Amino acid sequence: MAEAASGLEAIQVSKRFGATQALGGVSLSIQAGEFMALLGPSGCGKTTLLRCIAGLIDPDGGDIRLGGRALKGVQPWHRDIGVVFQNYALFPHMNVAENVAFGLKMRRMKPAEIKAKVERALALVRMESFAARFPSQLSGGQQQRVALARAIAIEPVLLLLDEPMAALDAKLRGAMQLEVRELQSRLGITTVLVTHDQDEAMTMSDRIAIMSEGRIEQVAAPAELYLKPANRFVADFIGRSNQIVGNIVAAADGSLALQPDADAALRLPVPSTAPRQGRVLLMVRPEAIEILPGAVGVPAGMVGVQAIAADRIMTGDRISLYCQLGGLSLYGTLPSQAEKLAALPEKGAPVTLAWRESDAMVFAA
Amino acid sequence: MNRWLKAYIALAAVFLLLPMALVVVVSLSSAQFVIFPPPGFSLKWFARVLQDTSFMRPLWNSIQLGLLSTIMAAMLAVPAAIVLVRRRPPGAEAIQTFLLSPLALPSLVLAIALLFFLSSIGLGNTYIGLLIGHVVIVLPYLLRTVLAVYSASDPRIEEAAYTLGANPWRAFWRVTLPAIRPGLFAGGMFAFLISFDEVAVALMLSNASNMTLPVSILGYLVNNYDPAVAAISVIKMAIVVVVLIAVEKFYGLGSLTLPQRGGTASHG
Repeated sequence: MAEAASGLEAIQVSKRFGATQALGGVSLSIQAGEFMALLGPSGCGKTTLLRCIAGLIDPDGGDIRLGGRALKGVQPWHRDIGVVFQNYALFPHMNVAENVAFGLKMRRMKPAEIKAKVERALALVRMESFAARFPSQLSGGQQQRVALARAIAIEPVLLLLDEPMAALDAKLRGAMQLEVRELQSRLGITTVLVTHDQDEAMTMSDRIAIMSEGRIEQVAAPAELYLKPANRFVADFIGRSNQIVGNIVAAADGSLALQPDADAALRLPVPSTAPRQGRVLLMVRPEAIEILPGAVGVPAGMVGVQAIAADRIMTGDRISLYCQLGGLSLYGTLPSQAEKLAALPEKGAPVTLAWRESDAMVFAA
Repeated sequence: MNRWLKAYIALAAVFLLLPMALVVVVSLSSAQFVIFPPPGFSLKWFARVLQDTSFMRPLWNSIQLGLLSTIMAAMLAVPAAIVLVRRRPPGAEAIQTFLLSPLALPSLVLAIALLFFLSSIGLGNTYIGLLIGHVVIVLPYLLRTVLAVYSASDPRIEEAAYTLGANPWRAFWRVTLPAIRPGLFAGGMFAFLISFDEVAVALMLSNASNMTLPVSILGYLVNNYDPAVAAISVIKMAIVVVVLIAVEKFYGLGSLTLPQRGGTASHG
């Protein structure tokens, strides 16, 4: 529906609320037709950035350009940006069709044209048969569809989604994520999603901008964020990992190892990319750890440690095995399959934990 | 329901309704004085009050004053609610309590205070003064219902309207006002009834030309004791009942006393 998708450029956007620096000079470039997520913990500035783009708040400094046009001084009602709000913000006194028609009426289109566009927008979200219902008569998922139809009916140059799935239950949320993503790529509309849910961001987006304390930590595709986090914050925020803080020490043969704070007698292997000295944080994703029963030694091409099996925890699609290594605890995960479960070492049995050097991440601590 | 509770409720209903029933019976009396039971029935007292300008003028004054004070109070309550709910300025709680405070004051105290104040600024015995008095009295009723309906609506509806191309003026007329209309109407009808029934302030502030119906009934009672006063009271009651039925039919009387949480349910 969107005639020509537009790229979005944020340049050094800053915003301060009282003593809080909500945005500290954020720069972000989104390509035409791209689906970009702003992901971060609450208070990281993602919603502030979205509201600056929509024109609902004015940034203190910086520029936002949409399709090459500077948005500074352009009122929200002149921006042609569709927004789906967190609780949908449907107009309670209008039925579904009137809600969707609102933006078109504001553009003073002819009634026949409005009718056709409303029907098309409702068909896109499969809500044609609900045109005469009022928002209070719809389920959460249906309200969300209407909010989406209302936002895309105006054929916006940019679509903003502000935590649109937060109010839905888990099953429905998963289905809506795929549906919205499918609709977005079909329409080719540039989209910015604000969310604190990393699964949602990963499921829906081409790229994700990780935000923290008013700054962007990393902008990358989901796989890259997970496998090659740019810094400690991103590595910690995305996914789960074993995290060991300690000092780099040199062994007798000159090779480097990590001496963990939790147990100074231990030496853990570190990748060759690690700094040659100082305090570091070693991170290994649990699914990168191979669990070998018995003190069998580390397979060739891998690094690892000997440990003692402790508790196992079943969390649906995977099993986590916690292992004790002196004062240190490490865990690895396996897919939940019967034969894998049967092969797991018993509590108290020796176990070898091995991982590829390239799967270990080291950050200055 | 418990038998005793039923009896208690029946007793309370009789206690509340019996005097009004007596007034209705007396208004239909053929006697020259208020006597009970009436010796016979006739509509002559209704005919008499409907032709009596000393009742009809105040009745019209009361309706006019009720409508005017309700409209003016609405024009204050709507912007007040928008600021209190959306902007939440510092001291919003205190401002809200202040605007609702006439509810907590005995109306006679309020009436005397208004008399002193309005007299001191030269509005003592004027229609404007009377109108101001009634706006103060009815404002809390309107503000309360508008606040309840508006706080229950999604805080982002205006922003949604902006992003869809509505400037603040159109967003107000097309989105905000319709969203609070149930509260505005219900509160407005109640405000009208409060003004229509109000005695203390009207007694202090009205004069011979703008006297309200309750004041004229009171004045009539000082010198007369005939069924005319019952007949005009029945007419007044009928107006009140009609308005109350309208409120109940459109919005439910519960909405006047209970805050409407999640309150879009009344549409649809």
